[in-house]
This record gives sequence, C-alpha cells and structure tokens, in this order.
Amino acid sequence: MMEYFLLSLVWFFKPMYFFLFLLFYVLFMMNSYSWSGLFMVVDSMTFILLIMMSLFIMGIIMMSEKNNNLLILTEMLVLVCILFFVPSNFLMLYMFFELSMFPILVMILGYGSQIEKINSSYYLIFYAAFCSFPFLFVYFNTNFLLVFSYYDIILSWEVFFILTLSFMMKFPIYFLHLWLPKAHVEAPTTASMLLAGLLLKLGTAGFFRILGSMNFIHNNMWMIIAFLGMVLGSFCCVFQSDSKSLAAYSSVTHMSFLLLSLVFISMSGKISSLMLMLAHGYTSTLMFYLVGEYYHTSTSRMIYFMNSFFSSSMIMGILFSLVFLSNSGVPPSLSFLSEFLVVTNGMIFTKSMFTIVFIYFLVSFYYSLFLITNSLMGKVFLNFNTWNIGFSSPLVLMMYNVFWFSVFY
Amino acid sequence: MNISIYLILLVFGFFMLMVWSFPFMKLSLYFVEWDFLSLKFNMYFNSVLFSFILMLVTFSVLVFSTYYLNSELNFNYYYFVLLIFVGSMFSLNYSNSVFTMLLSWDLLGISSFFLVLFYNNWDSCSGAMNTALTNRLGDYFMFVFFSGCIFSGYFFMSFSFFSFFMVMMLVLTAFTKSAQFPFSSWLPKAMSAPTPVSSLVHSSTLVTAGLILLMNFNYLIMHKNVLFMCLAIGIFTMFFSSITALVEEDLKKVVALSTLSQMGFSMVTLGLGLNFISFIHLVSHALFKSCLFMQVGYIIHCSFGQQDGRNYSNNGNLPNFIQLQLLVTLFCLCGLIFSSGAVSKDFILEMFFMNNHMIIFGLMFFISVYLTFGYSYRLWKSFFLSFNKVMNHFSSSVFMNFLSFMLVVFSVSFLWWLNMNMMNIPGLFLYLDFYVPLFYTVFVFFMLFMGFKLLFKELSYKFFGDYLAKNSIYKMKNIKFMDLFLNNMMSKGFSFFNGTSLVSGLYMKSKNYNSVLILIMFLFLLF
Repeated sequence: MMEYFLLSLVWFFKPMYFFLFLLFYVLFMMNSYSWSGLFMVVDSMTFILLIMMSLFIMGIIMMSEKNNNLLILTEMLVLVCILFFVPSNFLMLYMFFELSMFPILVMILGYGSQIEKINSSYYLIFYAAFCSFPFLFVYFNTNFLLVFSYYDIILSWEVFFILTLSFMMKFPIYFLHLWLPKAHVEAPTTASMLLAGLLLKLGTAGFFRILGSMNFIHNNMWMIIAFLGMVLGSFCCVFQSDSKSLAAYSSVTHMSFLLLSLVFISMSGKISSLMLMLAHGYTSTLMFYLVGEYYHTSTSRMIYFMNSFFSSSMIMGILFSLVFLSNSGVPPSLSFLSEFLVVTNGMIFTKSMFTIVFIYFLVSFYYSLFLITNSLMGKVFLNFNTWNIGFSSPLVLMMYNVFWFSVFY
Repeated sequence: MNISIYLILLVFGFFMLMVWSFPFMKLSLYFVEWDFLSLKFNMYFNSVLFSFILMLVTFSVLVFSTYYLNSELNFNYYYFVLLIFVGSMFSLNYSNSVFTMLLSWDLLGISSFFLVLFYNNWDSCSGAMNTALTNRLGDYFMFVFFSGCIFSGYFFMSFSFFSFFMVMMLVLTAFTKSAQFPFSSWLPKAMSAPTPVSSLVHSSTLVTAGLILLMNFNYLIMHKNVLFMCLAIGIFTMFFSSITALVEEDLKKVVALSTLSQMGFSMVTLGLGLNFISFIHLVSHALFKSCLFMQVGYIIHCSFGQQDGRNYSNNGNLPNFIQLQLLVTLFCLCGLIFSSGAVSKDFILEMFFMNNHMIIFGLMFFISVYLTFGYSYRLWKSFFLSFNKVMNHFSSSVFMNFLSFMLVVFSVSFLWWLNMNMMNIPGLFLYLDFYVPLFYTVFVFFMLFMGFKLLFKELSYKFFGDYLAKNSIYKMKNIKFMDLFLNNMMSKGFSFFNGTSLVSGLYMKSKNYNSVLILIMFLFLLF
C-alpha cells in the first residue's frame, strides 16, 4: 500500500499517473484499515472514505481542467490533504492543516478573474491564522503529544473551545464563515471545487479527532451555534444573486447541520455525519462544477441570467436537476440517508429538534428547487460544451451511492 | 413507445389474474432486511385491486397522451418522468418498510414537480414550486414519524409504535399529500400541467397516496382523537372545495376542486372508521375522475389549450359521443344509481347519518354532497349549453372517441360486478322502491334526447343525406323544435324566478337562466 503512495510521488509531473497510483493506494488501503506506520496511521474507515472522495474530486479535475499549472497545484493540495487524513501525531496534523492553505491561495491569487481576489485572500489568510495559532498554545500545554492523533483527555471548556476554533473556521461555522463566499466567488472553478469538496472536510475530520474530549456538558453550545448556522445560512441562501455565492452559503448550511450531528457524540451521530460529509463533498463539488460550466459558456454567474438549460442542452438540465435535488435531500441520494439519520438522532435527543430542523428543511429545499426551476425554464439558447458536462457523471453516480453506509454495519 | 405499451398490457393481464385469486391472503416479500435499507413488499387484496385500476388508468392515459401531446418537442421527457411517477406509485402501494415508503413518497413529489414543469411559462413554474414545497412539508412530517421507528426495530406493528404521539405526524403527512384543508392550495395550481398528467396524477394517484398511507396504517389510526381530526378536516375540505367549484372560472380547476371534494369525502369515511369502504370509493373515483379529465382534455385541446371556460361556446355541436360519455361520467361522479359511485357513496351516506353528529357537521356534509350535483351541472352547462360562436374547431380522432369508452364502461359497471361477485357491501337502498320509476323515466328521457342528437347530428350527412332528414321531419318531431321548446321553458323559468323576489333573482341571474333544472335536482336529492 505504501509503495503505491511513493510511486505516485515519482509521477508528480504527469497528473494521470499520479492519480492512478494514488487510486491504487486508496484501494489497497481499504483492505488494511487498521495499519500503523511511522508517519501514517490508518485506523478507521472514515478517513479512507474521505480519501476516496478526494480522489474522485481529483479525477474530475484531471479530466476537465486544461491549465497544467492548476493541475500541479491540485496534486499538491490533494497530497497534503491525504497526509492530513492519516497522520500519526498531532503535529503532523497541524502542519498539513496549515500547509493546505498554500495551494488554494496560489490558485485564487494566480488564476482568479476579478480584482477582489486580493481582498478575499486576505480574509482567507487572516481567518486561518487567527483561528489556528491558539492551537499551538494548547498543544504546548499538553506536553507535545507526539504518539497518537486523538484527543480524549479531560479539558476545561475554554481550552476545548480554543482547540476547536481552528477546525471550526474550516468547517465553516456560522460566525467564522465570512471567508467562504468571498473565496468561492473569486476562485477559479477548480479551486472552488477543491475548496468545497475537500478543504471543508479537513475541518470535520479534525473535529472527529478531538471529539473524545468533548463531554456532554459542553456540547450544548455547539448545538446552538449549529442551529444558528442552519437557519441563518439557509435564509442567506434565499437572497443571493450570485450562483457561486449561493452554493457557498449552501455549504455553510450543510456544514452546520453536520456539526449538529457530530455533537450528539454517539456512534450513529458520527456515522451519519460521515455520510453527510461524503454526500456534501460529492454534491457541492458538482454544484460548483456545473455553475463553472455555465460561467464558461456565458461569462456570468448571475442567477438572473441562468435559465433555459432545458431548451439548450437536455443533459445539462438533467444533471443540474439531479445535483440540486441531491443537495436538497431527495431519495435515493446519500444526503437523504444522512439527513434521515440525523433527524432520527435529533428526535431521540430532544423533541424540540422538530422545529429547528423543520425550518432548515423547508428553506434549503426552497432555494434548491428555486434554482432548478429558474435554470431549467426559459426561452434563450446557450451553447453548452456537452463533453465537459458529461465528465461529471461518475460523481453524479457517487452522489446516489447509499452503499457507503453498509461499510459500518 | 409501442413496446412499452405491450409490456404494460402484459403486466396488466398478470395483475388481473392476481386480483381474482387474492381476496383472503396476503403475500409478503422481504428482499433485504438491513436495519434501514430494507426492501419489503406486501401484497394483499386492497393493494392488488388498486394496482389493477392503476394499470387501467395508466394505459388509457398513455394512449391519451399520444393524442394530446402529439408532436411536442419534449415528449420523451414527459414520458420518462411519467414512468418514474407510475413506478413510484406502484412501489408505494406495495411497500411495507421504512426505506421503500420514504423513497416512493419523495419520488412521487419530485416526479409530479417535474411533470407540472412541462410547459415553459410562469403558471407552470409557480404551480410546480407550490406543488413541490407542499409535498416536501409532508415529507418532513413523514421523516419525523419514521424517526420514531428506531426503537421498534423498524417493525410496523410493535407496541411502542402505538404509544407515540407520532401518529399525528402520519396524519399530517396524509393531509399534505391528499390536499386536505390547510394544505390544499397546490391542487388547483397544479392544473398548469398538461391534461394527461392531471388525469393520471391529480385524479387517481398522487392525491390518493395520502389516503392509501392512512389505510395501510389503519390499526394505528383507530384512536378517538385521530379519527376526529380526520373527520373534521375532511368535512371542511369537502365543504369549501365544493363551494369554490361553483364559482371558479377555469374549468380544469373545477374538476380539480371536485377531486378535492371527493378526497375530503374519503377522509370523512376514514374518520368514521370505514377504511375498506373508503378504499372502494377511491377505486371507483379513480376510474371516473381520470375519464372526466380525459374528456375535459379533449375539449381543451379543441379550444387550442384554453382552460378558461368563459369563452367556450358551440361545443355542443360536434363531439357528440364525447358529450354522451361526459354525461355518464358526471352521473357516476354524482353517485347516481346504476353506476359505480352509488355502491360506495350510498353506503357512506347511510353510515354517516346513522351517527349523532353536531348539527354543523351534518349540515356541512349535506351541503357538500348536494353541491356535488351543483358543480357537475356547472361543468355540463359550461361546456355544452352555449352557442355563441358561429365557427368551431374540433380535432376528431378515432382513438379519442372510443378510448374513454372503455373507462366509462368500467366506471359504470366495475364496482357493481365486484360487489356482486367478490365483496359484500350491503346495499341499504331504503328509499329506492318509491323513486326508482320516476328517476328511471327522467334518465331514459335524457338519454334518448342525447341519443337522438347523436344519431341525427352524426349521421345526418353520412347515410342517405337529405332523404333521412326529410323523412324524420315529416314523420317524427324535429330536434330543432324540441331544442326551442327547452330553451323556451328555461327562459320562462327564469322570468318566474325573476319576478318572485330580489334575492332569488340575483341568484338565478348569476346562474344564467338554467334554474329549473337546479330545482328539479334539489327536489330529487331532498327526497
């Protein structure tokens, strides 16, 4: 398994072979899901599934991106993220967490199209720096734990809050989310896809590792933040005029829902949040990809102009509807399964979960459906590049793949 | 398209065989049973009978849509989404596990959204959004209901299932899908769909899905408060939809509101505890309502797609066979004797009035059932009794003349046949022996009138040309004189009411002079 990883590093400048050997790496890793090396420790199927998802995203980028520089940057980012998912100690985790910022910054600053990219990269850098540096303080006070990469010692709530702060910024939780819409709007399509599909999962995977320290008297605060994120984020989505910004706020909403599921600190809570992670990864990557295809055709991201997919290219209409339907949680998609599990867990926890999830459900369905109706109907003709659109079909298949759930049973 | 109709016919024949062998057994198929992902199917008499009717209606609608949506660019899209819809309706019918129920329920909502979205205009888009959002509300209630399943091990009849207040969630889900009182706004708006869609979806399948859900869980619902809620909401739905159907101008919406009223009627029956009769009422309603939609669709197609009934005129001249079928369908809708509607409707009326209800309930129920006659008459009048235009367009097709004939025959005779041979719904026809001769005479008279019109208008220039016309003028009464006679009677009736009092004058004027017939029907119903 490790030999394929090293072989992929040999082919760093030929993206296809890089992808091939990493694919073998993941597939062999599925067999050895309890493997311990010096710098890489594989101890749970969750991280293997996340690496698999990141490879799917890299695959679609390989097929569709024509700029070689962006491909090399993508490879760098995916490598860093894979090393983040299976670290052997917390220092390595932190190192790769911060290192993942670099390729994204270069992509946004180098290949974005508007002048506001400078402003958005400032937001990105400063949010990431201010939220992650306090982590080193906690790391120092726990005597530089170098043996495992899980925290399950007893911490006071202030220290625990600092510990989660860095991951919460990457999540993104509602009050620390301002960098996300800005970064998405200014980034090229590839960077948006990676950001949405992969980088947001860094925050959640990190949260998995510190969940052992969260006691049941601390998790109410995170639930309240998650409620606020869900409700306010979905209302923000309704009023957006830029489709990429709408997809970004939709990511914020889904991630807040994921946080809600994680802080139940139960086995089914963690499994359902993993399913939601996978579903969100595939779905929002595809959302950004299709919006990017529309942008390449018509040089505009405004929702007001995004119409008549039906008359222009039926495959675009069908794939667009499938992606946004999966975004809103329609069976048989993976997001439906995960939302059902989260609602079940929530109702067991407290019956007042009914009202909050009710608002989230309806409003998130509304904006997805509004976007579908708006984009399908219309009477103009847009000249889509159907070959590029068809590249997204493997990911569409993955979005509806509920069988990841059976890995845990 | 041809091969799929052949395959549907094949499955149809298979189901027909199954229906006749299933009255006393229940076949359950459990495919996989991992905790949540479990595919379990349940076949017993109710569901097999319903799928038989569904097959019949689907087959007719598919052939109808080749007529209605002829040479549409997006026909393949429509066909594909319709097949998804029919598949999910079938799986809802037979499903016995959480996963299949949730899956088929959501797919019903989503595929009806895509079907309403067929035309590319503002009405379609807003109606589709309305449909999908209301359905999603019901989906959420169903989620919450099934989230209580986890302690029962996803088994439907366990004790902890009974003790939850979650049954209210289930009832609310059925209310949204079947468009009962607070959630009924989507059904008239969904009439911006093409008529074949309405005739399959909004007449017999989508709106009955909620009631079928309640019937499948009928042991769970037999609780005093739950049944009371069903009864109250059902009566209110019936009442306000019947009244709305009297003043609505868009005739397809009138048919939608009549569907709503019949669904309210079924909900009332469920609220009385009679779930099998409610199901039988749904089955007969499915037949004649889809038939009614198809005939209304033919008339709409003849008016180039205009659904607003204010300028319909001269429709009574040409499609005579359609008129006859429409008349018989309306009779079935009203539940007149010798049609399928009578089997279930009569029984329900008897059972309702055997209890002691509040006077409000009784009055509302009575007025709603009376207004069934009201809007049926309104449909008839708006289509065929106005002769303003000189020139009319009609698209005759051999298909269309005889297609709904099969459904009409079924809707008249099917339930009687079933009643005599398989089930045993007691016929409590208490007042029948006194009024049957009178009713029979009027019925026969009216049918003869229609028959004459059909014969003489259809065949007058086909065989013997002028010879037959001259023959009939000299030997029998001319139809023109009978027509003028009836018009004269109507105007005399109007002036009678006009001279009587101001209130009745305003009321009758708004009904456009055809008040005598209303009075006759009222007298009929009262006794």
